[in-house]
Amino acid sequence: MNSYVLDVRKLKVDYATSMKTIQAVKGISFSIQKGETLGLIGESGSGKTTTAMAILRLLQNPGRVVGGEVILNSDIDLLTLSERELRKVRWTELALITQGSMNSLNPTMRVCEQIADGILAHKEMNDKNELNEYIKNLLKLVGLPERVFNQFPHELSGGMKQRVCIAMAASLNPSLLIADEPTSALDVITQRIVAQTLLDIKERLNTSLLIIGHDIGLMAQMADRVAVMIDGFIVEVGTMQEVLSSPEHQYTQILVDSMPSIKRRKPLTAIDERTRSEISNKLCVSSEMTEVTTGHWVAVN
Amino acid sequence: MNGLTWKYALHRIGIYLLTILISITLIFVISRAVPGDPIENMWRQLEMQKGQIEGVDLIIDHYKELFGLNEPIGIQYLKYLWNTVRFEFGVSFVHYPTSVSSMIGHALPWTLGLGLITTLIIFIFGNGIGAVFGWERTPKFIKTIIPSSLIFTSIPSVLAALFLLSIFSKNLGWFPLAGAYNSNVTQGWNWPYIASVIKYGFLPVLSILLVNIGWTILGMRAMVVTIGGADYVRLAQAKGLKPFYILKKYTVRNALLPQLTSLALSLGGLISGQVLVESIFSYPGMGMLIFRAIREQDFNVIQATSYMFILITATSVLLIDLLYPLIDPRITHGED
Amino acid sequence: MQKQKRTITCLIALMMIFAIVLSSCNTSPTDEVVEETSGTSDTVGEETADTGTQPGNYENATREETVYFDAYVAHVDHANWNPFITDNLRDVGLQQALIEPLFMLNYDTGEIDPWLGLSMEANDTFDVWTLNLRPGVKWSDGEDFNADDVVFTVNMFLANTPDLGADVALWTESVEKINDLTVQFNLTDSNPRYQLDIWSFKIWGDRNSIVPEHIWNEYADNPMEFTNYDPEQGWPVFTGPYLLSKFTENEYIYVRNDNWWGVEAGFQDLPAPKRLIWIQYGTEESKAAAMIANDLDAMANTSLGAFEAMTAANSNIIGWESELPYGTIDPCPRYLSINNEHPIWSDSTLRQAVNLAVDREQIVTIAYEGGTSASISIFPQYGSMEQYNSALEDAGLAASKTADTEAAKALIESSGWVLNADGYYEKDGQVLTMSILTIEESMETRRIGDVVAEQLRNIGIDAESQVLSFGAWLTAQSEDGTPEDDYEGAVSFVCGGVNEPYVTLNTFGGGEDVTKGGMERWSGESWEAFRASVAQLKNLAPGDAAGVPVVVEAYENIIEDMPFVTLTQASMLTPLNTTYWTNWPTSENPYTIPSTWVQSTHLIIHNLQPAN
Repeated sequence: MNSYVLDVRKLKVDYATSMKTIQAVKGISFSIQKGETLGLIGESGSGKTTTAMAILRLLQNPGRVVGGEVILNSDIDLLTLSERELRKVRWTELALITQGSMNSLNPTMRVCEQIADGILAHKEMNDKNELNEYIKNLLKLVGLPERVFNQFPHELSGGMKQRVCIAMAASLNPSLLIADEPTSALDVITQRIVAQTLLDIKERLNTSLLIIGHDIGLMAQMADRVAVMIDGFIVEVGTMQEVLSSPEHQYTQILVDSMPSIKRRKPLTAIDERTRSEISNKLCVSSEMTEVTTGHWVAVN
Repeated sequence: MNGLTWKYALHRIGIYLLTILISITLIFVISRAVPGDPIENMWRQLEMQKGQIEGVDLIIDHYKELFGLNEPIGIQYLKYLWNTVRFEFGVSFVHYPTSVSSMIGHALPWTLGLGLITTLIIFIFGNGIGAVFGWERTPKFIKTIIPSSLIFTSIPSVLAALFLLSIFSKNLGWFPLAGAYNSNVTQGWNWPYIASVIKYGFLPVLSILLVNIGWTILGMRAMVVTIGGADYVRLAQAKGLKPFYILKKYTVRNALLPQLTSLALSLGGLISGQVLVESIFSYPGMGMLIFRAIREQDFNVIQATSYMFILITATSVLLIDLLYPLIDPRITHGED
Repeated sequence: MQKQKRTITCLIALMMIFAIVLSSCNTSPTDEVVEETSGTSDTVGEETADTGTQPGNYENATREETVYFDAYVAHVDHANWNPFITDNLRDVGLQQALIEPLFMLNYDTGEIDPWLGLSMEANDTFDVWTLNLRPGVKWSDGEDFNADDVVFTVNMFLANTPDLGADVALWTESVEKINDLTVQFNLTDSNPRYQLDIWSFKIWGDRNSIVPEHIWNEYADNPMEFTNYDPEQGWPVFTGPYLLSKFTENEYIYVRNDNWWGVEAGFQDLPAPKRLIWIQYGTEESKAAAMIANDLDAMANTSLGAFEAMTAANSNIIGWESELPYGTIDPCPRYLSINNEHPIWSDSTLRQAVNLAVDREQIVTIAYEGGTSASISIFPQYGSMEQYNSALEDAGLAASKTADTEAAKALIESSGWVLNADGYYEKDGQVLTMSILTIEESMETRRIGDVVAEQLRNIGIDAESQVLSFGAWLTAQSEDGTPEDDYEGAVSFVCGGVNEPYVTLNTFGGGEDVTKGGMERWSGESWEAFRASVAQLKNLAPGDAAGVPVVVEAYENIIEDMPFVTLTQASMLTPLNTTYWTNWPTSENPYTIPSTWVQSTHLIIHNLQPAN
């Protein structure tokens, strides 16, 4: 067995208010191997972003991890780390590219500063020129012109901002990049460019990538494997190719059907409420997954 | 790059000048609308306090002529405008022949000193405390102090001043009852003088501070809580940055901009509060001057001091407006 | 980034520097004072003040050697010690410690006591006056004070009217030096009050101070431009037993001049206080607190309530009287002014009715809480006025202390008014109203107005009091509008007659070429007769017994026509502190009035004794 960069086991996340408790992630497990790109796909509210935030331990109140383990590099359980240890792991091992990069950059800091502070938080770098060169190189890597170095976020376009975020996340060669809807809110052409940039960087750094999204079409171009989420459960995991060609789960089938093609385009929200609660009810009874073919797991149908 | 454009600056300066023109016209109209003739009132009042003055009609006529009060109102207004623009305030009616400029020259530094220090303390400490209160990592027990910082915000500065005066000066005797410095010290750059100025200014500053700092604290707390949920703050956490660094560079930094706007808006209130506080502590500033001038119906002084207050307020607001684009890189005025 | 941060920091720093520089610019005039006195200041302290002869020694005198006075109002231009400016500078020690008067009126005896002057005599027609100066008077710089200074000053007054005031020129034709100690004044007209009104302390202190020729001669043509302040030259120079030491924004400090002329001239010993400080506090409460804490020795006018609170907290605080009304009499009695030209109130019967309806004792009890007394007449009841007031009482002209409402109603009805359903008198469809104007700035007039309105409503006059600012109050009574729009009544005051009735009566007489008198616009036969009496008084010397029957005659006309209604004596309540200083003026020891903002404070300072 390969050593996993990330191994998520029975992760459970609740949003608990004084009125009621909502289970957002209901005991999911998945893993990512070194150099692999895993796509986590599902519609909004399926718990995919919550999963990412739980892994990063960035859940906001009242979200709370109530069970499971998140093992990084086969030996660190992220969920049990002290705050200080966690800070060390962040960015060096585990970097985030957030959803909607419009607001991901501090509007009052220059690009260079925002990249630099992440680096300096983990690495001694006394030579200022060396640091600047390093940052400029990173920017070049994501295909940004050098002037961006000194610019403020508001002076950049959406795609450029997202690329700054990618450069920032890549700055310390983390073993895992988590990209939460990295291309949402961008036009189609920019989406392609950003996606390509992300893949290039991933290749160059030979890092693993957890990419979260709802667009199975885009996902198909980027991910090696895919995990499909609905209502806090994972219903199907497998290689991209296999899942696309022979989706086993009812929901996956609907998803794959919705994939845009030249002929038709069906929005993802086509799934109706009745079907969803049917699926969900079944999963609540048993979320056990069975291996259909090697590495292709499917939940109860 | 540079957010301050000429178009924006000219626009702001235009509004600034218009504000001042309207204000000084209002001052003129209001002071002329007061019943009776100022000179006549003044001398009759003097008679009331000090007994009959022989030949008072002669004197009244003389001063009316001297102050141009016998001229048509239009001419008076034009002369007033021209003189005001040149900071030529003439001489005081009551303290003739003392020039109003010299009276203001005496009072202005005290007021500016008191006002600047108070505003700076309010801005720095108010925002500092507000940030701590709004920060998610601040212990609960500290956060429960918030309401206590607001006890004074619902009362006017005057009452706070009277309250502090009665506790700390009258009952405890820790601070002096009136004045700006002790008569035993030598004025100039020496420690006893500076210490004395601080001691005498402490309660006036505190009175204005207590009443006004609460709003700054509340505003900052709300801003910090809001910005604490912003994507860029979350990303900063993901970067493994130290929490205090995030508070400083990400949260507070962005919260300060709206706070600066609200500071500009509250300047008028700060200054008017200071007028009364100065008169309560007999602090020799502009507030005391205008307070006394109103009591004495010294019109030249009332006009000049009101004008100075408006000028100070309007200029501060203008400065903040012009500074704003420099501080907030997102704002580039004039391009819309 | 860095660049902008620096810009902002720079701006803030600049603002700070600006403020600091401004406040230190401010220090320049007083810096000099300090330098001048700093040379001696280090020798102070241990030295007992009795051995010191240098006035500078007293700058740091102890609390026991210092008298703290309440600076009634501070003046504004601190570096201007010109006594002729209209500033309130005089209240902060200038006229109490530095400027000595030629003569000083004694309110109790009515006599004019000599000070820098020895005597002033008139010829039979009161149009030539001869002033005899006290020998041995010296200016604080050692120069002699003599006839040259007086002549110089008077000529300066004549040349600079009305900048320096109008009264000297109004009465003085010319002035000549007879010898070093004698000056002759040639008047424009007969004036038996020339000495009192022009050259004596009478009510507050006059602006007509004599100034040293050797200092002022350069400014004879433009005296208002002289600041009279230069610590290096020892300016301001006057004759008083104190010298200006220094001042801050709210304190004025004077030290005793042990070389004061009065000792050598055998006039008086040096006063006991070595240092005098006039200090300004922001509020009445602060002053009271300072009194209680013994930080203040004499406070200007206060309210009865505040006074009682002060004496309860500190038994060393005293007033003029040891029991109610505690205070002493203010020179300006309060009265109800009535518009004699008003369509309704021109009827003297109605005015008589108001006089009967007013319960003066009740005004004292309610409006003053016992803090004053009901007026016998329109005159202030000083000792010197006793002969006039008792003559009025003997003639049955004194105002009644209580009301006679039935008689008042009968009078109104005799004039054809009938009570309507609301309980107010009505005639020809018009209700009998009186709106009584009071002064916003004066709580006293407002409270009087309320009580009087209530008393008038009790007899069927629809009266109400109306509060106006001083300016509006004054304007409302001036003759601008039609009689119908004009004021009906006002709580008013009349000052002046502190030792003789002439000045007060003349207020209602109205001067030479007028057809009606005073704010009341009194006219008619009684007024003409009244004016004739006033004209007669004018030519009699103040205090002349021959004036008493004339006053009675004049007053008969007042009572006959009742142009105004006498109300109460105005009270002046001045708390004094006996912790450090005793022998303050009181009703037991009435050597002068207890007001420490007027020129007679010289007397108080000379009389004060250390408590230990």
